Amino acid sequence: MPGRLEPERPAVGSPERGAQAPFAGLDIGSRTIALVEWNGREITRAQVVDTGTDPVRNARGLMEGRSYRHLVATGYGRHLAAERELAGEVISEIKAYGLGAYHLYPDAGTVLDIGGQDSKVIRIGPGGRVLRFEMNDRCAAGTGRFLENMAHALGLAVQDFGPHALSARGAPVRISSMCTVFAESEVVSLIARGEDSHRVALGLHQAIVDRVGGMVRRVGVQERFVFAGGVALNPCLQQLFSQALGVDLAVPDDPQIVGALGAALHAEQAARVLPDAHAARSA
Amino acid sequence: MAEREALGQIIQVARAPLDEWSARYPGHRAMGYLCSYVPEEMIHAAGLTPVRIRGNTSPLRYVDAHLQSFTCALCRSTLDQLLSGQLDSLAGAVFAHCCDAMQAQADLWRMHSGGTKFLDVVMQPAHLGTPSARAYLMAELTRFWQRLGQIGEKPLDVDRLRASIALYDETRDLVRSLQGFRHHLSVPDFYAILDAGQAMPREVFNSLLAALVSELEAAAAQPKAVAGPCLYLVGAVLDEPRLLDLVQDLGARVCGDDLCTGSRHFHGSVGNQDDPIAALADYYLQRPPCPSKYHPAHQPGAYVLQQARASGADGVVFVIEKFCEPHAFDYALILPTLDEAGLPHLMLEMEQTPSLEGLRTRLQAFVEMLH
Repeated sequence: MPGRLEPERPAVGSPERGAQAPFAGLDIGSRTIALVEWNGREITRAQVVDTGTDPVRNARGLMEGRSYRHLVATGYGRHLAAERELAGEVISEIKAYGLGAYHLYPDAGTVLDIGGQDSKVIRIGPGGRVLRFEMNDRCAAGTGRFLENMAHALGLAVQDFGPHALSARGAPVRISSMCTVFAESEVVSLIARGEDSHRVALGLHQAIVDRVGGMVRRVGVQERFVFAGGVALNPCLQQLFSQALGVDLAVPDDPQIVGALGAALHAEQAARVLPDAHAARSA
Repeated sequence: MAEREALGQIIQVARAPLDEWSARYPGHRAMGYLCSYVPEEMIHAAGLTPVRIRGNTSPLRYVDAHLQSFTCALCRSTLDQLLSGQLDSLAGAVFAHCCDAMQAQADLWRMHSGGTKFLDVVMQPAHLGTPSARAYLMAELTRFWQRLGQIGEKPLDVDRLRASIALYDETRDLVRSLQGFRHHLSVPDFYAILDAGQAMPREVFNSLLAALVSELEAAAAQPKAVAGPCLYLVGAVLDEPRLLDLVQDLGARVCGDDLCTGSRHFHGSVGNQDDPIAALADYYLQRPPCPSKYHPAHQPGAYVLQQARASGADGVVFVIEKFCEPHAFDYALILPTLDEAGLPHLMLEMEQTPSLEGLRTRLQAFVEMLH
């Protein structure tokens, strides 16, 4: 069983071992690319950039020509990273988020990851092992892309959208469509009709919680409940999910790097099992 | 190498479009069918070649004028093929009463086939365990047999029907042998062979498959290392072969299935009773039923668990067509049994053109779970 990577455990990549290259996890998502470097004891570097139109180039830019003992890719671009020889191995985002969340919260039972274009609920057991999961990637409803488009429709920057909704006075305005395209037209009509944009924003957040909440309940809520992925940065969703599911949420300081962290941790485990199988790669 | 030659010849026609069928098999007249409850042996004995009409991922151009979007991909894709003329070379099409959508599909085909094609629905009973089911099914099969006599290439002859049953039973025996060599074949190749069995004249298929099985038997003397988690597949038609490529790419194996177009289609044997129609009726009544049928002795959960365990599966993957109600209902019945037994499972909901990346992520995560 892959045990938790205890900070006090003698680390493979600790500075005492000399200037060995770190392990790395690269999470190429639809909206952002995250890179985490892990020396076997701690995160030595974590950075997030926009995926843009050339994810390989942007991932290489993040890697800055460094060498890694083993780099594991995850996210939608994971196979591209392997094909272009950035990564020595690929793992699914589901496994990566399980490992990353477990490392940050050893008592984690459920992970909700809402990213740019899909959402996942993962039940994890000892060692961050995935026990079951549900994933929605059919459409942008209930994802980061939906939030971005709705913020745009209200003339807000995405980081201001959550606080804008939280400052609503009164009940949320009910949004009937979760289709990203139709919801945008609905928002425009509501505003034109004179509805308060704060309450409209709250209604949009509530719509996401209603939709994703059903998926969470299918998997089952097992505490501790970790909320990760870029959308976890939204304070309104944090609050609404906590209320809807009746649990306190654990939100990592940087929820966007959890998948890359899991991939980096896996890189270390894999290198330990197969020390010769993975040559160091550089960008 | 003969094995490769036989395998190559089988695989190249496994999913070939039906508009090329007549040119490939001159001298044969193809009769399409859409369900594994259609008695192929009768069609064959009437001098026609039964060919399964499969769904595919080609863009749909005509079907929306006739069929709702909330109909399964099999119905939508096959009706589109009919409307676009891709099935013109078929002598007709035979349906079986399995689900309401397929029943309605038969009516649509009748309306849109121009009145010149043979069309029939073999009304197999839904409840297979009643005292009257056998007598009813024998009467229905007799009706179908006599109707085939009106359009068949050859006069109806019971001895010919017995010979056709023997030919189709030979395929079932060969497929049973082939099951023992799953790990010597890639996952896509194994299912391409089963697909080809539903697309080629059986005389041709059996001789190629017999050659392949002999070669595999010889090669199997050399032990073959197998690795990777083993999956048991459950579902209706598997009309997206790229799913099998994904399984292979992810390093998993398939050790058994309960698929309408997979092993279930080739299950058991009809046998050689004196009355071949009674033999066919008994075969359909005793074969493990598809979810559109009911038999009081058949417990879907217990059956899938037992089959999956017997095949050595590490997990079960349900490949369910979106909007396929019979399979969705059975899925809900099967889950508690698998959960109780601690056998992991994954449901992949298939559409006519599924998102392969989404399927890949789900499958990869599931395979990682089983490692």
